[in-house]
Amino acid sequence: MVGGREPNRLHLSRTTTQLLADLKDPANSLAWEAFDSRYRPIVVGFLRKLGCNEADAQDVAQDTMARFCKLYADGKYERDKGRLRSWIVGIARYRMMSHARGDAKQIALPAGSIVGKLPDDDALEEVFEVEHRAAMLREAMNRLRASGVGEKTVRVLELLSRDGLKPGAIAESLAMKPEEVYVAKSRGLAKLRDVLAEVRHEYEPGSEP
Amino acid sequence: MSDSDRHSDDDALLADLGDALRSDEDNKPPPPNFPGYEVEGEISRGGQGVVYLAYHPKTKRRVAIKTLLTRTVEGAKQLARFEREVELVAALRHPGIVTLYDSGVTEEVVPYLVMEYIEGERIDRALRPALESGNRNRIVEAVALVCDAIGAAHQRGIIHRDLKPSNVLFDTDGRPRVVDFGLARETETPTAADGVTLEGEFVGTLVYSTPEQVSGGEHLVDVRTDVYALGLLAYQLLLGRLPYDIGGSLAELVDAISHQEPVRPRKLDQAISADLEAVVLKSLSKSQESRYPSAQAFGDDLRAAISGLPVNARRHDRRYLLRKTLWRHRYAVATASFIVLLIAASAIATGVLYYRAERARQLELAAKESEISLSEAWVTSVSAVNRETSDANISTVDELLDEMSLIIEEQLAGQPERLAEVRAALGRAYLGQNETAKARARLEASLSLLHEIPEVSDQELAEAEHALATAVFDDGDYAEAERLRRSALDRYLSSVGSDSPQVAEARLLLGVSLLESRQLAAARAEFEASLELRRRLFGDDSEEVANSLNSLARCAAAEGNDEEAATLAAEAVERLERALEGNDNWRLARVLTNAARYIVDRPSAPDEAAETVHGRYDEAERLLGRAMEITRLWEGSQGRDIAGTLRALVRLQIQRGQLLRRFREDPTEAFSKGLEYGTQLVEAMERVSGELHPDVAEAYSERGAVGMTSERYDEAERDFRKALEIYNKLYPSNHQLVGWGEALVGAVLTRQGDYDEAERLLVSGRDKVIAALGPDHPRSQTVIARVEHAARWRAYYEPLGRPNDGAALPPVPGR
Repeated sequence: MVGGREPNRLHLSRTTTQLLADLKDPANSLAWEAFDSRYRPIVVGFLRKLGCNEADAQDVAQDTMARFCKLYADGKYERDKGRLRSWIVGIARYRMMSHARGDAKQIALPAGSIVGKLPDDDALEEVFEVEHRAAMLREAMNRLRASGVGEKTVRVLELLSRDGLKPGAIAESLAMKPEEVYVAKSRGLAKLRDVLAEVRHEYEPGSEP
Repeated sequence: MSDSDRHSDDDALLADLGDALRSDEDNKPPPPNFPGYEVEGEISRGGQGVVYLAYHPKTKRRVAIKTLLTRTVEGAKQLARFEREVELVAALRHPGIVTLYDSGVTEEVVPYLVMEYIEGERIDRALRPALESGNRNRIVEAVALVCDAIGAAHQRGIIHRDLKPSNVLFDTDGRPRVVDFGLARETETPTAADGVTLEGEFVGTLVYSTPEQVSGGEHLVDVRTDVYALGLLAYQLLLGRLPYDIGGSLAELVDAISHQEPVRPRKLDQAISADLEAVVLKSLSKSQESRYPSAQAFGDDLRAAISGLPVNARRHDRRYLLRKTLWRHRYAVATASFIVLLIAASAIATGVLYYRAERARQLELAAKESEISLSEAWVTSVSAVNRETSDANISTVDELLDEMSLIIEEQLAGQPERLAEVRAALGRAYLGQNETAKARARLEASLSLLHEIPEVSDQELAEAEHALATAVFDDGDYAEAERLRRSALDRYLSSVGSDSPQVAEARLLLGVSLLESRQLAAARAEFEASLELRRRLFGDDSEEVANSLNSLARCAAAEGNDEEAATLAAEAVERLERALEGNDNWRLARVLTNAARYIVDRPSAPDEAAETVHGRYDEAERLLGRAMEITRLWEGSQGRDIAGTLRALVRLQIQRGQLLRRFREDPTEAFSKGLEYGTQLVEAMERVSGELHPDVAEAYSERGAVGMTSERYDEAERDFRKALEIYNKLYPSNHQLVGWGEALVGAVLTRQGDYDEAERLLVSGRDKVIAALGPDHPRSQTVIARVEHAARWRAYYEPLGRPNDGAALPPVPGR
């Protein structure tokens, strides 16, 4: 999220293909914000998975997004030459290594960092893909919450998934009957699937008809 | 799609969602600002707080910073309490405990702790392979190490209160390290009555709560709460599950913790030995009384269980003990038992008759001979002092006592009553000489002799138990002292009745034992019962009531109820004054000094008006003035009691000076008074003990402390060097007191900017103190803290190229 301002919902719900089209116009800051808020958390998560600490991940993600914007505006990205994912991963990886070399602010790659052990782009892309899927799920949860399905239903899903609680304990903690928890779970998941399909359609370039 | 397909799809979606939500939490929100530290990332995040990995450039140390979301420190009182707790925990140094370096409060008023960063994983994950391969000894050894660490904390009066697998990390050396002592949890553990209002995330903590925590609340928490949690840890690590069903509702869980007996470990895993099962189950007793009295006792029994030694958990079982003993001596037993069998058949019948007759004869004889042989023993041992008539080289009381012990044991053999009595007398004499171990041995021997004599009354046994408890207590074995005090109390209850002075005294003494092992609620109950009984028996205005009030005041101070402590101590003074009717004695002086100390030690809240605090200090000064007057009358100006009062006066002036400085007023007068009292202390001690005595050195270091606080570093250095000089003359160079003196001088040199010499002395001092006393001794911990403190000063001031000259410099980090 840039500057804490919420980007226009119109842009948020646009497909990545549409956003990319909008980005061709360098003045379209709304498109940029929407694109940034969609991809920056994924890049941060991706870098964190590679062993970057939080501050460095934020720095490198900032560099990556800026670099992407510049290259894109310069027309360096050609859709048919490769996927968007590979392209972002390539930039992020390059920026990270250049940080590590000390070109920019010095960062220390932790001993356990997997960067050095992942020479092939496929493996890196897989990490990115995991983050991408997680981002879609989180966005789906946000939309589920906003859809009027009810806070309790959302809480049930969170407690089941994130906290790994048993339905009995959830019933107790949310003052629900156990059968209500099961109903909430099954309705919540059904609705989540619908919303997720919608999000996937928007997020995955080329997934639109 | 079939039902089972749908289920597995749902599960997969929930698993992905869980990962997504958790990984999101990893990346936000931004960490708070921790002054002096550079946050590098998040280690973990939970309902109670977030743990960050951070770097401290000043010390070049990687640390873990934990925010405590469940604690608030908004009020001055809460802040003061938090800081006091941190101070206590920060003093803990143990290889099994993660060191607490620093603490603070963020701009959002969230308190945080800065701890040693441990690379490793949770104990349950680290020991999973051991569980799967059936390596139970490895697990038991690990839990015993955790017991050692917790036991060390208990000895410092700190209870963990929140032990669970996530609070025990396995470091890269495979050693368990405990984190989060007591500080993480301020809010009371919700009880069954709180029921359904609990948030889901709380459940995770609840499963590791103890019966007393879920049913009675926090005031019942004592060292045995940690024992239970350790038992839970052992159970979980050994069996991969908790001892009761946690799948049900919250109310069911609370009920299970409170009432459901644990599933027997052998029912789940038959390879677990009956001993190990008994040990684990004892630690998990629902009632605190039935658990091990200390973490150490639990650890010892765990180790016994895997090494084939008899375990305490089954000591009530005589057949078990016999079997164990036979097993340990199985080869000797095999041959001996054959011979025993041969003679036993004929011997038993005659043996019983013989024993009775012999016993009667012995008693008669003993009555006649005891006076003679006792005086013989006495004469023989005292004459050993005479070098001309004895080979024994006796020059001290200790040596005399040792010699007497040997002679008396020999001469009084066969007269158990006499021997028991003399052993007890010797034990008490050793106690007076601070020879705790020897005192304990004699008193134990005396008590066990008494147990063998059928005619001995409950009262005699109770007295012997009390005497032994004193030695055991001085030895630091609070659990055993408590057991003895309890036993003595029971004997009095059954022999002289509940409304007796003996019971009142026994309760008081039991309370003192409980207080030392931080079982504050139980201690308070005993003190209150003793006080109530004494009020009835002796009337309000009696020495006995004053004595009980004084003890209750100590308990209140330990609970952190400083105001109550001061009020009780003031009442003690009042009662004792009336009881004595003008015949002031040293007891009154001590009670007055104590009352003053509670006032001085009570931390003043940051927002408290200066006048209020000064008012308190004035009162303390008045009390100490009276104590001084009495002591002078009682023992002249050279007694030892006067030293206690003068020491309190020195500390009072240090506090007052610091208060004045905080409010930007002139502290000179207070510090000058402090120096004056310090000088009186030095002079008094020199008069009493001569110039070469550790008490004199201590007096110099007290005065040096005033110099240190008032930034008169030259004077402080002179005093500390004098203390060191005395220690050097009295002791060999590796003696802990020499180390202590070096650390004092090192500390003041740090302030003067002589970092190299300071470091040399501090490190040398620290090593000597630790070598002599072990790393857990309070003095070792003080020295360790001094070395670290000095390192911080160096890191701070050295780059500035000057010593701290008292100018307005930024505060030392972490202060």
